[in-house]
Amino acid sequence: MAATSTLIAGLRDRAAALRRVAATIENSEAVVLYRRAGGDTWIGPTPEHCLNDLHAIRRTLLTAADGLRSEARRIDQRAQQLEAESLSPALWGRGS
Amino acid sequence: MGYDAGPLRCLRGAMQRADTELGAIPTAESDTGEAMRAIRSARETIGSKWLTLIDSVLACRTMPSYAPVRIGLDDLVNARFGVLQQLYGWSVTRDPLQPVGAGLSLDQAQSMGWLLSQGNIEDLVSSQEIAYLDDMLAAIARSPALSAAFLANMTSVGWTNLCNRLGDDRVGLMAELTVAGKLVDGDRDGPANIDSIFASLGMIATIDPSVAANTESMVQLDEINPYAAAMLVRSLGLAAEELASLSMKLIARYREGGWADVQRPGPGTGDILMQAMLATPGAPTAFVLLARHDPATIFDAAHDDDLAAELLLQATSPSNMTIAQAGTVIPLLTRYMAASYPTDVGFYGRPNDRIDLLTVDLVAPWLLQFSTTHASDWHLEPGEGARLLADVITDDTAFARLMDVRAKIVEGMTKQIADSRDPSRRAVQDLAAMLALIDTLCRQRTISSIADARAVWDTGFAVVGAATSFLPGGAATGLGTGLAINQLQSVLASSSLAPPGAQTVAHDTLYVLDWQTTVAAAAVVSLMFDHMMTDGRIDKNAPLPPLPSRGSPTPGAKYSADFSAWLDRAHLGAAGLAIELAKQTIASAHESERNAAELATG
Repeated sequence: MAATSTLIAGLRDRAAALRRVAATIENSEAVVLYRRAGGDTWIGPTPEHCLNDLHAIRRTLLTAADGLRSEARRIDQRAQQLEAESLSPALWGRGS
Repeated sequence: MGYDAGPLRCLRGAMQRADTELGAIPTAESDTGEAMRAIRSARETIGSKWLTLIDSVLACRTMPSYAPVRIGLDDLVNARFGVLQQLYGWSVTRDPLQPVGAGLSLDQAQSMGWLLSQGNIEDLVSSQEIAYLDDMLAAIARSPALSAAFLANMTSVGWTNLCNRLGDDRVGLMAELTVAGKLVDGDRDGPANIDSIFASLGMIATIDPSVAANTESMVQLDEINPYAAAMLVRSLGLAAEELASLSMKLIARYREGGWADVQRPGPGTGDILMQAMLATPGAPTAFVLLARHDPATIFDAAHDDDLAAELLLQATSPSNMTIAQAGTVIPLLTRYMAASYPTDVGFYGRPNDRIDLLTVDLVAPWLLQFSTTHASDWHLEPGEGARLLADVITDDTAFARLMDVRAKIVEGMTKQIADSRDPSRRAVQDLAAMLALIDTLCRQRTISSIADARAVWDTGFAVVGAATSFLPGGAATGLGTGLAINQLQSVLASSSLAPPGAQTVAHDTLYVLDWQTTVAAAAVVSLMFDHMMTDGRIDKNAPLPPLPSRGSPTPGAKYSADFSAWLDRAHLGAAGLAIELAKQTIASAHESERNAAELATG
């Protein structure tokens, strides 16, 4: 019973940590770099290439953050499932 | 590549912070594969690639591919960078990368307009730049937003300088092409590129209705050389009246002389404008109506005489001009052209040896108006039309030409009959007038060949066929069907329509005139007889009208006599009077007697 509780707590910590990382990525300067790299800053083929790169980085990082949140939800569901399973025998015992 | 150092330093700082932030994310916590790969990739791109490059640019470290350059305000291809460097203090370096995006930005369009409005454009347009300018302006012309951005920085002086430079280049290229038959490799695309640039400029100038309304003042056509202005005007998509009016002004300026295209081979100002007008329905007529008091504007404008002739004939075609309008144009131009025969008229006094034939072509569709019957149409004195015509048909060549363009004569007469309120009555009158006019023209000269006599017959019979098609029972394609007309057709079919092999051509000609007038009268009589029999005004047992006698040496007189005898015998009452009136209109007994006398004396 204690081992299960530890496992459940560990899973929930892990999910929370993934959400923190996702938030860090979403709020990072890297995601909004493209705003500073437009035609007001520099122009030409190389700057245009840079701007394209920064847009690609934004898309990739936000996709990664979404992936981390999905993973966090999956871990939370696993923790809930374990918790439900650990409570079931007691309920049965109390009722019998 | 151009950059503003301040914002670029800010970008570098942001990249450094982003790299630090991403580096601080705990690897273990984010070790989900995809996320770690994304963060690693982002740090590599930001840190290793762009931070390194921006650091080097800002530190002015040696990078051969990004060496600093100075763009002058005479560099058309790099106009955008030149403007940013010269006016906004940006730094500019070379850029080894190929263009990433093909889209044109608003600031590029603005820069192009600004640059074209500055400095001495005479020095900045090379053949390579012309091609570049063509691409740029074509892209700008496709977008109202880009056009507005371009126009915002394009001054009247800019328009003038650019158009003049392009126009002068085109004059030179076209002259070389005309003389040498080809252009050197570097210039081969020049004329097409310049034409395309003018087309784009025209689209840009008129893409916005509010802009188009101010086009003339904005562009200052009066300041642009006539040739270049003509190139621009033809691209503005103007309505007929406006195009004609502007063409008048430009040709008038052009004829003051001193322009690059004057007396150069290849098309000139007049040619360009006339081509534009020929492609704009209604413009040739509007132009000729404006130019009628200064006919040299028509004849002393184009390098290509054929172009002026095409414009004149299209403008004055009965399809494009009313009888009243023609009355204000044809007599004036006819007098001008006839008076020019001895000295010739053409571009800059260059002889135009076809002006006499052009005059014939001009009057052919309006031949009716030269007859006494229609003198009032153009407010001519009785006989004035015939005298005017005599000034045009001065020799056998002109007469032969008139006979050659008989289709135009018939076309003009047919349209006038069709447009009249009473086509049947008008057809008889016009047939008589036309035959009388042909008769008069023939008697004014000696017809010297059988071919000429045959042409007279062909012309006369074409007129008869066209006019009688408007009579009741007449058919558009021939003389129609009916008892009397069938009888006439069988006579015509059984005898040669062309003059017989007579002893003398002169005698044949008189015979032809008499014969075709008689045929015309017989056709009108037969058609009217058939129609009146059909509607019951003539009894079905009435005798058929007489036929012209091919065997008679004086067919007109013979027919008149036979007709009178038939009329006395048939007792047709009011119907007979109507038929007699029509017959007399076409061929009077008096004329028949005169013809008979002349035929008898040979």
